[in-house]
Order: sequence, then C-alpha cells, then structure tokens
Amino acid sequence: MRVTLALPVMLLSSAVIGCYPDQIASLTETVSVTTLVDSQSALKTAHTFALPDTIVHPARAQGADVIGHEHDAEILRTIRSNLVALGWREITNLAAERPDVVVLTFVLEQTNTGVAYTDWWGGWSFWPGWPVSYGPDSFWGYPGNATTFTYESGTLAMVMLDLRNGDQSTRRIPILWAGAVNGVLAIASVPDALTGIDQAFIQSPYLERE
Amino acid sequence: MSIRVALLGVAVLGAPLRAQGNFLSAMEYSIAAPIGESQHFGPGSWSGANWEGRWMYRGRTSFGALLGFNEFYRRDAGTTSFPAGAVTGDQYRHLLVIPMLATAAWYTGKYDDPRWYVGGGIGPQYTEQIFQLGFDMRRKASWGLAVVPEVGLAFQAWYGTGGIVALRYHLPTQSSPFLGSTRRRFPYVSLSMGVGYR
Repeated sequence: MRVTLALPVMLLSSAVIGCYPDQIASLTETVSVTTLVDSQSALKTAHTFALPDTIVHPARAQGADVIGHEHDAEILRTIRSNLVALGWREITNLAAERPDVVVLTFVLEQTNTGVAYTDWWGGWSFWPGWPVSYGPDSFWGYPGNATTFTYESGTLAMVMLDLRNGDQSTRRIPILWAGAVNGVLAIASVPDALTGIDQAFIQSPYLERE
Repeated sequence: MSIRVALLGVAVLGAPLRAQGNFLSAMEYSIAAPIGESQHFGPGSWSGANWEGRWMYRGRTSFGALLGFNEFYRRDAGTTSFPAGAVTGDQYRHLLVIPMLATAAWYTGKYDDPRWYVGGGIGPQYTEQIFQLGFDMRRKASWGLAVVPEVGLAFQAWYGTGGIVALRYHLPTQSSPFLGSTRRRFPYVSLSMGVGYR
C-alpha cells in the first residue's frame, strides 16, 4: 500500500513542475518598455536638455545588424521630438548655455541590473557639456524611490542625468529619468524601437513642461 | 509532462489502492476562486487536483491526509504604473499552491448515503509566485502553514467505490516578500469533486 500511495503523490508532484500555462513564450511577446523617474524638485525645475549625437553600442551588439550606428540619427530624432513636444528646449550651443539635463542613449547587449552602466564615461567623454567635476570616476545614482530592475540583453536605454546637482564629494550624478525598450536588439525592428521610445514618453506624463 | 496526462496517470494508479471498508482513497479535480490578493493572479482556476485519503473512525469521524495543488494565472498587456515608474508590455502572473494537509471530518449520519460532513485540514503549504515582463521573469517560492475548513458530501457508488464533493476555504499564512517587498496572503475557495475506492 505504501508504494501505491506514493505513486499518486509522485505523479501529482510532477504534474505541477514545469507547467506554466499561457506563459509568455514567443519572442515577439517579450518586448517591453520600462521607465523610472525621480519626480522630485530637480526634475520639476528642469526645462532644457542636450542630446549627444552618438548612441553607444557594445561591440558585439553592433554586429547584430538590428540597431547599428546607421540608425543613430533616426533614434535620436525620435527622442528629441518627444522631448520638444513635451515642452523641453534643446540646447545645442553648449558654450553659450548649459542645459539642465543631458539625455544619453545606449544599447545594452548583456544583462545589467539597475540603471548603472559600467564604463559609461568612455562613451560620452568627448561631449563638451559636462561640468568640470564630472569624470570617469563618477557614477549614476538611482532615481529616488526606484526599485532595481534588470536591463535585459538587447535593450535600448535612455537616461536623463541631472547636470546641475552632481555631488562632487560622492561622485554621484543623479538620474532624473530612465527609459528602456527591452528586447529590441534581439527580435524587433527599428520601427519597433522607435515605437518603444514613443511609449516611454507616453507613460511618463511628468516629463511635460508647462 | 502536461497536467492532463499526469492527472490521468494519478487516477489510473490511484485506483488499485487496496479497497478497505474503513478507508477511502480518492482523486479529486479541483476548481478554485481567488479571494483577496490572490485575485491578482486571475479570476479563477480550472487547474487543480487533490489526492485524499480518509480513514473512518467509529462511524462518524474520519482522519486522513490531502495533497493537492491549485494554480492561478493571468496574462495582461498594457501599462502598469508604479510610484517611481511604469512598465508596458505583456505581463504574466502565476501562482501555484500545494497544500499538504492532515485532515479530519465529522459526518452527520453513521449509515446515511450520501453523508454530509464538516471538517478541515491543517498543514504546510508550498507557494510559488511568478511574475514575467518580457525577458525578465521573477520567481519566489516559500513555505507556510495553511488552515483549510471544509464542508462536503461523501457518497457510495458501485462496486466498492465512493466519492467526495468538498467546498474548502484555504487560509494560508503570509508568503515571503516578493514584488514591492511586501508579504502577501493568498486565500481562495476551492470546489473539489473526486471518486475513489472505499
């Protein structure tokens, strides 16, 4: 009897292991858009932005031939138009006026936890708008109250860094907003990526300026 | 292995249990309705099963054991806002509960058929929560304690077989912190119907 009792128990156990009905299974279902925000006063008082003209791609991601440098202008144009439509003013003459924020755009090939991105300075160190105290030993801080999330492989990410409130003693540069279009490198087309960028701004109504 | 195949196997292999006048071994199909925070995982569950054994004691009382599972899941598409952000995309939530209960029941009649009963069970419960957004799947498993009062009907059938219809209220302890670092309790009501050998 002990054996016959054990058999139903074993089968019942096996029935519930490895079965996730209606689970997200197809690659096309895995594209998602995530945004994080620090909606404190620093964001509320920011009105001007700068957008460096380069998207940083990891070396191997460039070979994927989905989002390469040939699409940089198109992607940046979409980001710019969304910000302008929300009432932000772009600063292009950095010698004449310093912007409140800078928006950096990059493609991540590997899984990264949180909004940190190692070796970030190397990608944008040429940009002339950095305050004097910002350098390669600076790091991005998490948006206030944000929970850590994971940038998965194939993510197109945008971060809005606060140029006015970097902490020189801790080397921390605050992130005011971050948007990530996850999965675009592996499976989606450039139009999908642009739609994802639009969605990131749609779900961020606090970015609208009066 | 699909759940359907496994359940069929359980029913077939559960059948040869030695028939004893004072023992009932039953395989039950179980549907469930979520209550409270379980409702985050869907409006109802059509996926569930139990194995239950009952030893009769002095005619009106039984003691036994129950091992089962119920699962809840839902798919959503759209935007979910959080205090510090938002996500858009296909989301999948899955809740699996596996109670392992020691049970007892008291029957209204000694020889009536069918016989109403009231009873309940208590024991450990395994709970697994899954949340998936795009590539990002998060999983949390925990163990807790469940108290499961029930009312039901036990009946005889043919050739020494019998059956159980049971309405159970599952009240577990809180699970480990998961999304939002919050401890949550996942109660639900299940309706189980089973047959087995007496």
